[in-house]
Amino acid sequence: MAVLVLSCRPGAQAQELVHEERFEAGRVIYANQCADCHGSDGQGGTDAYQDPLVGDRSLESLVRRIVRTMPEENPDLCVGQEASDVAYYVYHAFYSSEARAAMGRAPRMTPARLTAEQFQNAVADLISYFTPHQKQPAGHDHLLMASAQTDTGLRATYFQSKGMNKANEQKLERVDQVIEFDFGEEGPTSEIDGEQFAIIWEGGFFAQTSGDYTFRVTSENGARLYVNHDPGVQRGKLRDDSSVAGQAALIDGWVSSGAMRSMVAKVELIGGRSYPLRLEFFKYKEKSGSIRLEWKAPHGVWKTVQEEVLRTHRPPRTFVLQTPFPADDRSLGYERGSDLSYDWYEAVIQASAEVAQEVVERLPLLVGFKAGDEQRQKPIQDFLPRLAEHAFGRPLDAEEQMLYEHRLFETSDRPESAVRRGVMLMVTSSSFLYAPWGVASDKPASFRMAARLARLLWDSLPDAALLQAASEQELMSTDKLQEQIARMMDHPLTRFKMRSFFEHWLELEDRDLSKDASLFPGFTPSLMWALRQSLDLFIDRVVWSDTSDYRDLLLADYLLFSPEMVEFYLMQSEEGFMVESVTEEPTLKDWVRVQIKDRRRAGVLTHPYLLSAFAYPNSTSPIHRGVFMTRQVVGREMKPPPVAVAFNEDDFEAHVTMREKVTQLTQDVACMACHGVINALGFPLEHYDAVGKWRTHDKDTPIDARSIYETDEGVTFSFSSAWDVAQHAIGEEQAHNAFVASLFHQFVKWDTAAFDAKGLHQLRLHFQKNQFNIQELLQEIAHLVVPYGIHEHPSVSP
Amino acid sequence: MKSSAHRTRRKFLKDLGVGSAALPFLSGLTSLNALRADSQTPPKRLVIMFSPNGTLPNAFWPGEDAGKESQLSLQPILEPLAAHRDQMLLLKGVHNKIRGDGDNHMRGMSCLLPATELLPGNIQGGDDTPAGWASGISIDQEIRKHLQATEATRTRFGSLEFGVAVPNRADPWTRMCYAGSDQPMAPIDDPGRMFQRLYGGAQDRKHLASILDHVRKDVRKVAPHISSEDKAFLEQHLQLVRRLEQDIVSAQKNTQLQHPEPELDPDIELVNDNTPQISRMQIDLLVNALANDMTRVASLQFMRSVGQARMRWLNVEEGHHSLSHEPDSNQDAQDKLLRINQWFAGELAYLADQLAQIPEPGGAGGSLLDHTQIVWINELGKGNSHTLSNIPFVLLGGGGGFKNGRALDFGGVPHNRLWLSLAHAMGHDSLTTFGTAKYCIDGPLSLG
Repeated sequence: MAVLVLSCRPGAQAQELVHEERFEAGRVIYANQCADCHGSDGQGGTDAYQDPLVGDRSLESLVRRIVRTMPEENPDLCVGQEASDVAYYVYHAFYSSEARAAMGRAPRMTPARLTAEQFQNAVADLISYFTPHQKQPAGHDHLLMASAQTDTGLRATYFQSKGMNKANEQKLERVDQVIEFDFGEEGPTSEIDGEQFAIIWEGGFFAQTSGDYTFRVTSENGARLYVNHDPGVQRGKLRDDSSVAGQAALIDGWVSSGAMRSMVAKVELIGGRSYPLRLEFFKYKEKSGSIRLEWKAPHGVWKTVQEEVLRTHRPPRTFVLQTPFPADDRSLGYERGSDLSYDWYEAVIQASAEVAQEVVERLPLLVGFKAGDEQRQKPIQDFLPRLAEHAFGRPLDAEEQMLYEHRLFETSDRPESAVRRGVMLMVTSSSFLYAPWGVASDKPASFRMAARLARLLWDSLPDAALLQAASEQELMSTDKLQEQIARMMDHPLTRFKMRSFFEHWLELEDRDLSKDASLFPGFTPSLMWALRQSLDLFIDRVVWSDTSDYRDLLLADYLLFSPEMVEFYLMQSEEGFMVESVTEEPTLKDWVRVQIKDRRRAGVLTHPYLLSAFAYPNSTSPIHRGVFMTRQVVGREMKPPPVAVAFNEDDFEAHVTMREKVTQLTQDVACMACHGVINALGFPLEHYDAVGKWRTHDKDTPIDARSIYETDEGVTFSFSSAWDVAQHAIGEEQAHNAFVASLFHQFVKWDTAAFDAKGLHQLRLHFQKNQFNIQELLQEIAHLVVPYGIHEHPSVSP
Repeated sequence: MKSSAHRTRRKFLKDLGVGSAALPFLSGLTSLNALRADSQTPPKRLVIMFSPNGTLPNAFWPGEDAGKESQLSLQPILEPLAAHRDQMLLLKGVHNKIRGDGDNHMRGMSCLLPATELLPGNIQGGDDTPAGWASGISIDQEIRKHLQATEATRTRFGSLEFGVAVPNRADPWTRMCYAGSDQPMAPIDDPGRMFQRLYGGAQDRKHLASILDHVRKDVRKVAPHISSEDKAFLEQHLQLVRRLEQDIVSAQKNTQLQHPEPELDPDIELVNDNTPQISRMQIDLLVNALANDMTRVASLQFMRSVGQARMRWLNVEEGHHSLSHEPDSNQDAQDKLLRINQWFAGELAYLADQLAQIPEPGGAGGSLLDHTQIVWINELGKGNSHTLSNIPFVLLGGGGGFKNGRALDFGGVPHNRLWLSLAHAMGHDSLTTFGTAKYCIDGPLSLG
């Protein structure tokens, strides 16, 4: 009997001939020894064996695993040729992604909608596309610059005031990096008299993460703060009795009774973008003058200075949708727009009204006419189909063109009402809401590719350049596609998305680092915030360097420290960090790069942020650290604990070390199935205490960081440091698979196998071949998925 | 929108002012505050209306021979109010005596309803000393607080602050209502925003209803691109649209307010020349909010102190404030100011007309106007003298229970006493002083 494994999924290998005799021999063994627990065709059985027998191991690896561990009650029962045959059967019958594809069990590309985050991005960029703005200097707005940022700070204009006229005489223009001034009774410079003067600060504010930003203005004088307004509407004019047209201040403290006060207001911003900011200040006959501008990022601490957020360049307003959406499905570890609930639909409807409101309010600016212009109808009629075109990411068909250019206007009394209805319609349209991945798409091939690119790298809509390329069929050429991908890699939204990936991979979301203050004095919220900055900075440094080498993430022998971190980690620690050298960090003022000797640190694994995050408030946690290492770093799968064991400090005597406690708690055979691995990966980190400082003793016992680690395939390694673990992980196929799959999931938001049964395998090989270059891996992912199923593309024609 | 946790639905609704009501779009606006139907005692309502830059005394006050009390004879400015003469009370000789920091426009505006001094501050007006915000609560907010303290008189909003053509900036010339010392309240001068606040997304729902056919067609349009196994997704989407349609229909049925919300153009531009339409929209919304008992206290602020509205709809090209500075001998300016003030009177008349047309719910009889006290105020007595004496107070409506149809001359009493009378008339009779205490010594004015 010849068994043909047929793949009918496009992109998969067409046919593969399977060795009939081995397959049959394996089938018999499986039926006798395995099927009871694992189910007749690996679908999973009862109790502890519910998970189906599927995975990413190679056939060889599967053989070794079976030899070593199966059947569980007597692993010696199935070894040698038998093990080889049964593995062969399992692999080809249902285990491998090819086999699953043949059985119709592979994850399939199904229609999906935008996720909440994508929706918010898409409507923001839809409107931005039509918002006039100053040309940005090249290389602007990277999350953190590889080279020194030259355009930080706010542009400041200083005026001598005269009565109501605050901007009477301009005296000085300069860039201020920090808005924290105490003028006392004096003027801000010798040329400006201190009795009455005014200052306007203007520029951009870069939001590194999404969420609520809180701003605080402290002054005894008059001040107004605008954030994400429509800049350019106010002129230099600054008077007590004349209006600032159409702009609502975030904080209005123009009127003051001379007493010092702090005014606070919140605004929601989407991360990875720059927002206009303007601060107006004046002093008028009050005894003294001072002003301070502070802000707090989501989960952050109050800051007056942070070079990477203030920009001299003033960006246009970005529309930030306020309508809350129900949470997207994250059951697979990444957000997917897979369900169509009524909750979600209600949110879409409400959001469409909010978007329409924004467009109608800003219509004069977006279309370019003066408010109330009687002649505005025609330009608005030209505008609405273009807006729809951009929302849909493709040219309109004749019927749509008619609808957006004429029909809606014919049935509305005012052009604004036509726009309102038109915007509601386009934002609730399938062409806008549906993801461009599935076979289902209303877009011509090249536009579908453009949409996929923008979705993949930015979680948003194609920009002008991409649409242009699509309309000229350029994306059909591999070279041109490559060019677009390279261009888009450099965009702040790609970098933002890369950060989101690391947030997921390193399990950084919603971490609470707080420690017992009596044990760790000085571990303040401000220090915790600096740790997070330091980690982000380090990752950006590695990922956006030329080599972009994944191995550096795990092995790097340096860390980036803020002054606070230097004080806490270097000055107060007895052993220090075995510092080789401390050099100035050019990108961030007062930060340093700390070079560490003797493999005392290993990249992110020993970054104090992660070491603190995976620890208890009063002690280390080898289990938390070990689980993280097992799953994310070496990429092994784990089952939930068979029995729940509570960790209770009070159960132990005072002198017992953490290692001893964990060993004792997990000594049960049932526990050790996993804890054999977890502990072996957690114990090597015992040299770092709960805040990530180096230590030599736990209680009075010297630290024992040694462990014996056994791989899935039964190979053993001995570790005695984090560096040993890192060194091991970077050589493991399993670790590479886990990293590649995770990057793929976060960016594409689909399983790799939904595109191509061999996709993961190919990507891993590519990754390994290309010196583990993360940027190249992402580009390769784009290459794999963007043309997928689009047959016109020469590189993917069947 | 990374995680939806930090921005819940509830929060959004709060921002809209819809409170804990269900989603405005679909789940509708269940009568958030239907009148307590069994109530025999009708509610008392208060509306403060402001217009700026003083009046023209000769075209406003009754003649010299009127004495301390006379039957009300309407001078030219008040002619548009002829139909309501019997429900009006004209108060002369009531002065804003508040002094201290700030110029007369600032104090006229920001000390009028609070009846107390301005805080020292950094805002320079004219040649006087600079000043800041008012140092106390305004009378409308004092009454609001009183009504909200009791279940029987509590309403959804407590008070609503309407504006018409108020410039977008916050200073003592643009604010008259204060929640307390140093706490100015901003009027909402955009009918669209006010509409949203009152009725949530009802307007959007109408727009949505008008495009539903297209929404349905749009989903079907994808059908040819979708494989048979993915048809379920499409079907699900279509079901959402069907449910939306049903919900819109039922929302429109179930959310009948006692008085349906007024129709208004949501896209009206907030520009000077649209002021007449905006004014009517705001008044319609105000009347509707009172009729549905969403609030019992409201204010309606036209422009601001020193307002420079150019009332081209009255064939007046010059700014209002500049005109008000012209000497009495400038007949052209006088004519224009007369038209301007008559226009304000006309808006007041429209407000009164609307209230008079709606019967008081419950068993009390009469109209809403019979149970609403309107007070028309101005920051100055006369524009070109900047006097704070003889503020042109017009009381209209039956809410205060005053003896109407009269003109009274009090000969120069502090206006704090008028606010005491008003508070007592609104049921807040434990109030013995309001604002600057020394001006309250003689107690409330007798208006009965």
